Amino acid sequence: MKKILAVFLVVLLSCFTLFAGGNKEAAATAPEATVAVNPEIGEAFAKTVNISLMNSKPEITDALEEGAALFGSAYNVNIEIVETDNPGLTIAQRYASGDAPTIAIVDSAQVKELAGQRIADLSSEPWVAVGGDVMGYKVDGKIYGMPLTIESMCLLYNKTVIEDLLGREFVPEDYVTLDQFKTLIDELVAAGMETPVILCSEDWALGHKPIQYVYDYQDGTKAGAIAFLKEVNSGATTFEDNEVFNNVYDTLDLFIEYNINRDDPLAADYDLNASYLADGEAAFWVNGTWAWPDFAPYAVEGSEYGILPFPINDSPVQGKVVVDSTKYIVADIINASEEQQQAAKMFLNWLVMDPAGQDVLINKCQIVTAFSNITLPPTNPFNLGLQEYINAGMTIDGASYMPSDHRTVLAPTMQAYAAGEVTRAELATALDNYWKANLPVE
Amino acid sequence: MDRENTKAKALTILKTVFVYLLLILYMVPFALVLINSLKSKVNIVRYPLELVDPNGPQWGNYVTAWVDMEFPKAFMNSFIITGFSILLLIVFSAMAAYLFVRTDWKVCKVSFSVMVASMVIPFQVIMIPLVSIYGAKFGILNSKTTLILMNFGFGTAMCTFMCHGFIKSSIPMAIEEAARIDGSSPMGVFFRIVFPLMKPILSTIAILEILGLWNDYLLPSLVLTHKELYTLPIAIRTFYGSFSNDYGNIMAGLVMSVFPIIVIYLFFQKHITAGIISGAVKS
Amino acid sequence: MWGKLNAKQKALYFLGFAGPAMIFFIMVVLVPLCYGVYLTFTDWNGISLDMNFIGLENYRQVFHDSVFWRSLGLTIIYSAVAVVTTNLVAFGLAYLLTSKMKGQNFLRAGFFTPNLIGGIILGYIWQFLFSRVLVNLYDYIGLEIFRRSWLSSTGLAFAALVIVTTWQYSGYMMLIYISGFVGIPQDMIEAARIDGAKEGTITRKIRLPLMMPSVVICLFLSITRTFKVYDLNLSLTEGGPYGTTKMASMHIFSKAFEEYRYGIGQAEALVFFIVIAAIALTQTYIGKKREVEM
Repeated sequence: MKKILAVFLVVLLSCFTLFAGGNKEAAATAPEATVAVNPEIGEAFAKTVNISLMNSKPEITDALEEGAALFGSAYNVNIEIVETDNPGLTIAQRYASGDAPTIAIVDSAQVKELAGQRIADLSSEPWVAVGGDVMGYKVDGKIYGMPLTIESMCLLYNKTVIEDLLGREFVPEDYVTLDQFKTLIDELVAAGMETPVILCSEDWALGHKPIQYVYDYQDGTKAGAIAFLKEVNSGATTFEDNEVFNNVYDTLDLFIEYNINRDDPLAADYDLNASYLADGEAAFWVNGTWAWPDFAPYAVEGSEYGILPFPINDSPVQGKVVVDSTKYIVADIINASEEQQQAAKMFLNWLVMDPAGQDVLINKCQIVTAFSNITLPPTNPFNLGLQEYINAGMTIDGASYMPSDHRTVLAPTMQAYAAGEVTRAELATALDNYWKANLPVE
Repeated sequence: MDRENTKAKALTILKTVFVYLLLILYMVPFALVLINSLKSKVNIVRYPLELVDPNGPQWGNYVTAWVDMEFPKAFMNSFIITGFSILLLIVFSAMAAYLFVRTDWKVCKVSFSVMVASMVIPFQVIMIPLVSIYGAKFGILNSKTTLILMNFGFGTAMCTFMCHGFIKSSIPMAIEEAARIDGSSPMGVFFRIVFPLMKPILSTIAILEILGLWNDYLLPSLVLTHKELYTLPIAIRTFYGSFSNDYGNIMAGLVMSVFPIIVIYLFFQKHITAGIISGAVKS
Repeated sequence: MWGKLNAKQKALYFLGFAGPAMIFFIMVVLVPLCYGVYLTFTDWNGISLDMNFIGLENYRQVFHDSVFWRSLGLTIIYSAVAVVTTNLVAFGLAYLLTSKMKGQNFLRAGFFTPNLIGGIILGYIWQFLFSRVLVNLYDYIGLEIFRRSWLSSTGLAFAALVIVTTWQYSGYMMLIYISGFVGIPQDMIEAARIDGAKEGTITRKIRLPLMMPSVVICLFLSITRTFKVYDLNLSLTEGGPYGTTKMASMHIFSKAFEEYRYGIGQAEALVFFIVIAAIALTQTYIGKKREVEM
């Protein structure tokens, strides 16, 4: 047996040396660019401070690492970035193990659970005055989550293919009602594009988001949506009697009818969907501005892409896009030392207030920012489109008041609706039942 | 006689053909990994049935996987953790199983039953309590030693269980009794006689456990949160996105992680069959 | 050798032989388990600092969580089907690959390869296979069953889970069966052959009874593994189509970490544990009894 183990060790070791042999040039090169210390942010630390950052937005990890290295070399802070695709689970584990990340990029649900006990009140930070108070995550009037990015759920379109088929310029503002949009679809179909709409199949995209449109388009405000849900809760009204619900679902029915994946709607593939839109096999993708990093590899050079609000009939807020801050940055106060907390806050400040930090945020991470002091334009077509809607004031509030089990309970029913397994009345009843048992979280 | 021979031969050929066909079916997903490890993500999505990327084999996937995963470091971590965990598991589980089989003490019976029962515990029951105790209370996470000892603690139930079955059915008491007359202590009897005889089961356990530990994600991800400690399965996660994953790189990383395991498997494979104990003494 | 020992010697031997295994087993399995049981009596949400004792409230909630019971029922059905298919295939393979077939070692290694790919990635590969490759294949060969993705219809998605499970575990179980087969004394079989026994009779009267220990182990392992399925469920079907293939583990995970109802999730996990334990241990008990009788 000893012999076996010995041989086993030798085999493994030789494998390793075999592998390690070719690794000379693979060593990571340090970033060449450096930045100067900005006294408004703070002084460089005398001794290197080590902090950690948990990132739940994997597509910006590389950019964040670049930014962390720049900031770190100037202020003598070493930021280790760890990535997760499940922030709820990871943050719970890390707090349970007493090893919380100093900075964490999380979803609103986690900010809500962590606020008041685990994470810092950021209300007096300098970035609050330049937009942080509007989009930041507040609990009891205090800001606990710094808004990282503004995103919009909307329709993404391929301008080039639409104009090719129509033979004229495509003006998104002309298609804000369902009736207008329907004529556009008919034209595209007549021009040979049989199924101009792309629907996703994932539970968050096909199940959760469509329901949110019902809340978002009540009157375009958070307060209006919450008032409606409270009425449902008290039994004063039902979804079936709600005009907006029916309007939203009229639009969704059109999408479902002209879905490029309609033969098998629940088998749609996210990447394939991206390539359909990019190549112009379809004209509209019902998704959101966050899709760019996954869409970019398929984008065709010379083709133009943009965003379009959800078309809806008889709505006072039609033509506006749903806008929400989707990721928040929080800073730990339980496991982090005074110095680490200070370094964390400095890093957040630097991202918003320092030109080099802004460059990281806008040009490297490629996000739309919530901060008004940042004047750099966004980098990709979807975000440029969104910025225009924001600048024009054509936005409505995204839904952020659903209880944490909203998706797991309701998304499957909506998916079944899209697959034709559930009727609109049944879906409305499911929504009624859920909101009779739950109140919106304010 | 001749006809029967032909019939038997035909049957053997039929069986062989059947098994090889089945093997090809079994290998399809594995072939997919190999093929796709050399395709760019865009072409994996667009042309799933193409064997070669229209732009030629994308060896760059391997380079990216190697660099982004910090492959040598992750490999070394995986290697150390798997190696030491296996050592502990094999030696101590075999010893425990031996005692449990050869004695009828109450404490052994209870211990063994508890171990067997524990094998059905869903990991999520233990997950958070485990990190609360060893992280928040004792602060010993983020260490390879801790993970190795935890692997040992979690794996020993199954290893003991498998050794138990083997000793009971395949190691004859007669041999031990002979040694006892020579005046050997129980420990001596175990290491000189029983342990070497357990080679087939220990090889089986070793290969099964090596694979399990080498591919394990959940426990290492709980214990090791610092980058320099990452094992291969954690490192591969770099290529997972929120909505879609970097399949070309994932596959390339996978092929590289799996390669050493195949070598080890081929080695152990021989021992699993070579170390047959003749049933002579038993029957 | 163990006959006449006093209590102190017994304790010493126990510590010497079973000590290391038992100590670490207790530390990483039993102690956290007990703490976990305690947590089911609190309202802790998995992340906050508040933790109050609330008695049996979580268990009351578990009782009312109809989705959990449905997922548990589904898990039992899935496990039953997958255990049968896995073990039939594994036993068959082990039988064929111990009958001195050409390239036997190569074949054994081949059937074992599925185990080389772990958890999540394996699910993604099969997802790709079912929803992309097979559907693409339809365009070439027009086989109706491949027209739509298996993963978007309830029954076929379930079948897909069973197929992948069988593919994944049959090689593993095959190894255990093989070590059982090679442990069967050849002279016994030779003797039976000389007495004129048919191959079928030999399998039934000699091989099967001697294989009982392997069968018990394999059943036990496959039951516990299929019951606890999580990675595959998550990456292959994500519980879909529309939540119809969501197994118990996945439900518990999302309860505890997505809905922040840790106490309930933990209580459900415990109920789940008791169900698996009851089934797996009954199976082992019956198997062991038969082993003795044969």
